[in-house]
Amino acid sequence: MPKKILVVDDEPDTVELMKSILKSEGYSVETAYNGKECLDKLKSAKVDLVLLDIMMPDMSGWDVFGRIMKMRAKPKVAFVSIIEVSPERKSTLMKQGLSDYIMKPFTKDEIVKKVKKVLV
Amino acid sequence: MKLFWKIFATVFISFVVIIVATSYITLDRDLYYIKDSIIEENGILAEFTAREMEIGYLESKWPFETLRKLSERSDFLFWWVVMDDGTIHLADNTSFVGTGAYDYFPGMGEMPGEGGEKLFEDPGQRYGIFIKSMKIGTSRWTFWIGFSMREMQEAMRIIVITIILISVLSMAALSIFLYLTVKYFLKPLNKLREGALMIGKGEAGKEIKIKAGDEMGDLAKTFNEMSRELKKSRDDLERYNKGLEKDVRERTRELEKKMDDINKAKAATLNIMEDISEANEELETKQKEIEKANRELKKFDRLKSEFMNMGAHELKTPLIPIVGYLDMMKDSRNLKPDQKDQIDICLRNARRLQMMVNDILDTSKLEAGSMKFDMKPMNPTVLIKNTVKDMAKDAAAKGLKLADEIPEKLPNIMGDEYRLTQVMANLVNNAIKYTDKGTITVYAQRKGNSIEVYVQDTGIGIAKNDMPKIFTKFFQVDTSEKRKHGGTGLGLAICKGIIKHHGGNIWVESNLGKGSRFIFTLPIKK
Repeated sequence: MPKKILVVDDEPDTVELMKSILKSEGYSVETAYNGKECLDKLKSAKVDLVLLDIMMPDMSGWDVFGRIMKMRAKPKVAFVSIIEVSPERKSTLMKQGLSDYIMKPFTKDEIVKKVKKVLV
Repeated sequence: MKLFWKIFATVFISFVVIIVATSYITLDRDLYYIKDSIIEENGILAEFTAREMEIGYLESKWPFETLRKLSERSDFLFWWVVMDDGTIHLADNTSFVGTGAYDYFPGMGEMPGEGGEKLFEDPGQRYGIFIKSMKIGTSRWTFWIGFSMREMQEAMRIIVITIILISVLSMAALSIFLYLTVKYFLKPLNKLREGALMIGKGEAGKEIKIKAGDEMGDLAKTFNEMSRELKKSRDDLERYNKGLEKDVRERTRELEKKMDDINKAKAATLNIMEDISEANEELETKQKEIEKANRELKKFDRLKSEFMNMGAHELKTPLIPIVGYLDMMKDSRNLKPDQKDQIDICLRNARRLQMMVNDILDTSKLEAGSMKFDMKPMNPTVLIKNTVKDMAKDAAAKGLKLADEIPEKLPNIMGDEYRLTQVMANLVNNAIKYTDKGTITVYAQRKGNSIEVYVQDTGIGIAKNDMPKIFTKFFQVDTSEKRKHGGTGLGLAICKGIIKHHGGNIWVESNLGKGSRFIFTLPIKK
């Protein structure tokens, strides 16, 4: 059974792009366009990895990440963002449970490589 | 008290003491003598009478005559014959007979022994009693004679009066004598005093005439010398004073002038102080305005920063799907060759746009000071080797040789790895862009407290005029080259901003047509 990935971004085109790339690699892909939708989907379906944007309206990626980390059966989470974070911040986030941090803009090869690594 | 009275009183009191003492001694002696003679007389009488009575008793011949004569004496008071038991047996006044003799004189004390006698004196010296023991038959009786001492007192009074009289008279005489003598002796002294007073009043040079061979005469001579000296000094002083007065007048005038100046300066200072306080108030107002402006500026700065982040997001986001899909499409197997070329062109331009957006955002951040640096100790050798490794493919694509030469082990520097990699990539990328054949060499060396990093190429080089300008924004060597080489014209400005932030410097050395060498420095970690 293929691994399930939930892509969360307020930009539908970006969601579609990631969905295309990941599907072509054989993953099962779910989508959400804001934090609330993401949390709802996580309640109803078992997800292996959440690819989470940070700058979203209403609820930021930081908040969503915090909520997910409090869940009992939690999926892996990787941020996909154009926000540059320092290596210190990154290692702090990793300690809190983050799996990876993918910078935008990404290339197809980049994102595929990182997702594969996380889902090993 | 004047000297006269001092001498007078001293001498007078001494004399009075001597006179009184002498008088007292004389008086005392006289009184003693008078008293003695009275007592002696009465003692003899008592003895005599007692003897006559003893004999008269034996011979029955009573001495009436002796007793009568006794009673006629001027100082006679009484006579008694007292028996053993103290009863008066016989008396000149018969009313006493049969009464107790001791009852009249209680403090009498013991009677004299056989053949003895006793004198009893009244403590007030008014009377005396002479008591003589006698033998009448076998009985031992006593014979008492009382006598008055009034005579003695009378004599005493006369003597006292006489002495007082003599004293007073001699004192008066003494006073007069003393007065005259002392006055005479003190006369030269008064003259001296008057002379001194005159000198005191200002009549210096005054001399006094005293003709005496004693100390007074010497004093007068000394005084006269002193007076002459004083006159001389005073004359000198007067002359000096006149000069001094002139000086003082001049000085006073100068001082007044100076005081005027000072007062003027004071007034001026007060004016200045007023001005200063006004200026101060103005300054405070200005300061408040500046503070307000500062607050607004900070607010604005924060807004700008927020805007920049938003802008970055908004500008970068649309390019993500464009580049992403083109990237996917170019690997598709269903494309015709010309379609594949078209997609490559789209992809290349989209990437260029992405790069430009990044450059513009970096420039803005550097200018706003909002670029974040993550400074850590790092080794420049690793930085250079990684860059050369990453860029080797691009260099090889143009048939260029890219090599690193690091002659020694370099010390660590403090730096942001991401940003320094950006600088290195930019410089090497430029070198590749502007070099058609030859070698690009990257090397580094320690120089003082810094590391110097070089990126050297064998490319077209830079004209001397252009060298200072290439680190400014939007400058490119030649507009005709622009289309050929692409780029935003911001790369070197960003490099400069990053290196400056690290505390280093960046510059270029070049020979037109032969190649360029870009150099930047980074301070060694202390």
